[in-house]
Amino acid sequence: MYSLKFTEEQERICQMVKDFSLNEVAPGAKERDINGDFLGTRDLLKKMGKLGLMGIPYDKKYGGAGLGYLEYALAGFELNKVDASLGISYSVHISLGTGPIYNFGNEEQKQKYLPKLCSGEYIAAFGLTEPCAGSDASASQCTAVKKGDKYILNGTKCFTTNGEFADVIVVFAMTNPELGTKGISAFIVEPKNYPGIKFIKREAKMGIRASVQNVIEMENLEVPVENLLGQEGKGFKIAMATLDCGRIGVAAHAVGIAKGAYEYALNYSKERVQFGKPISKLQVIAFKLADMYNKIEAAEAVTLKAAWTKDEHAPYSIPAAVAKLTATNVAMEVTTEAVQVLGGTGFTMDHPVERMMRDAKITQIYEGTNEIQKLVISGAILR
Amino acid sequence: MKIIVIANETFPTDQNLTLENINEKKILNPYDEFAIQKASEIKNHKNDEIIIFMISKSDNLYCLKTCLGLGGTSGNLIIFKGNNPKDLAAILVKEIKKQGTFDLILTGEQDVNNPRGDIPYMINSLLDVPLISHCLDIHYSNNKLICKKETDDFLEEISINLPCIISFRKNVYEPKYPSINDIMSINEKPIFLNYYNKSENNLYLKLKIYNVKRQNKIYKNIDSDKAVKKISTYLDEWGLNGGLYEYINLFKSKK
Repeated sequence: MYSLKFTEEQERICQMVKDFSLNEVAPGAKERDINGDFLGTRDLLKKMGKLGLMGIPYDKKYGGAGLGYLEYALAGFELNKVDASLGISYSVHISLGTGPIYNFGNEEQKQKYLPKLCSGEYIAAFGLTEPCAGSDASASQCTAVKKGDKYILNGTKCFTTNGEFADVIVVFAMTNPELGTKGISAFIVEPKNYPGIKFIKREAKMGIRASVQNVIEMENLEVPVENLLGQEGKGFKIAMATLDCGRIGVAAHAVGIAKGAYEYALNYSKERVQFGKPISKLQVIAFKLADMYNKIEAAEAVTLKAAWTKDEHAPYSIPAAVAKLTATNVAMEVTTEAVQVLGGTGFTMDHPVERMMRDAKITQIYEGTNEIQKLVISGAILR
Repeated sequence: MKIIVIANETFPTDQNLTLENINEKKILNPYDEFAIQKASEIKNHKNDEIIIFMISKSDNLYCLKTCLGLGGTSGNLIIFKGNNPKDLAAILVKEIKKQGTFDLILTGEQDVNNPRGDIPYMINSLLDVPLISHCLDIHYSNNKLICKKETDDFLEEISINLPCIISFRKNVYEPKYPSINDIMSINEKPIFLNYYNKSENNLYLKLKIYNVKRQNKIYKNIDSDKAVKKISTYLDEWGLNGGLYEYINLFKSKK
């Protein structure tokens, strides 16, 4: 039964993440953003590993916390209120990097990688997007040719979050280009141990500047046969299933950003005095805040519903797409309004709302653009 | 090792309190949270126990469970509506004695919102176990406890044998967060509830208060070894030497 009341454990997890975020994450968030300090973000991920946050939805036998996507979403709300760069690095590690190994790996692969990923000793990344294959993942041009006991990978991946400091990257490449999407396979790549991989560019971005997105060049990258994830030709299905999970994390990411912006604008409006009274007493501002609150409540509800549906092992692709679409649009709207509430000063770096607004934009694009989500939803409802 | 931690709940300073939420919105007193952190650091083996004692006016278990999440192995919630420090000390001593032998009692010296009075000193007197107050830090090595203690002019390190009582003057500066595993294991730990009635007269264990004026003694041009011996003799004379302890570093530092 879908319950809107959290258990005591869930409340304690929220409180722990909130305390951690306020004490450890928030103090340096602005500087990390200005300086593009992704190594600072990596260090925070390691700290989160010690708290058991890096393996929240994964089984205890692999070192995870044995909880679900609901708890993962709750943690995401609190974390992204203060630092969306850390939030996206965290989301990619959990959903996109660790998820495929957990869901599709064989027992040897799980035993080898999951305990280290769940403890935060290893950080994971996801290498799907290519310069010519964004929304159209089937247009992949990376190749993987089997030679003896290795696969030789060649090609370029871009927008690989966590790439430069990742210990494990799940990479997708064509083992049989003639078969189209059925010719894509997935591989577990250890960039620090396998020669033939180079990080040739760090993207200079509008937002989430304290996370790193790399362009990766694979030149005769040798991957052992035992690191094939699933079976040959199943890579596209693995990618799509993984992105479904990832959408819940993105939705939580977006809700957290929106909440952070709303709370900041709310507190500011109670202190800022114009026309002889706090601006929160002016109806035009009060109504803006009410709209923001309203939208966040809706986004949070659909996100938690998607997480709950996944935890119940029910089909969750559509709820995840709805959550991603709703929450990311809300994040953009709420952060824009938050800057508006703060007025001219909201446009400056003196307040975090401008960073939140810059951070919110990417949520409408990555892990399946919002247009793709509409494709998914319309495809389901018009079946 | 059996470590007892006496903890209290207190009101949060960053929340809006109303008549409706006043009993639910309590937090762990930061001075006691520091005591629990220190207990967790000293705990060496899996079989070591950290037993939490908490006196509360309500049977809300939230703060006690917070203590268990931070390292406690079992919890005792004592529901008592009184405020008199003598009553509180007597109840705590009665409950502590039920535990049998113990190695260490840790507690904060004060609550955030109000001073704790002389409760640590009363417990020290009733249990006849040495107390070191105004502690800033402790660590355990070679079967001895080393305490960093603050006085008006001094920062000193004191070595003391167990059992003893330590009260901390320090609250949490660098908080430790309970991990997910800690949080999920809270409900597996035993919790005991005890109700005490204000009207129970047998709560009082009489304290003898000596009204004495001790003669001050001044020694000049004396080296530290002789000074330690003189001080030790003086303390023995006045019954202040509650246990075997020695000053291992005595230095002056101006704050």
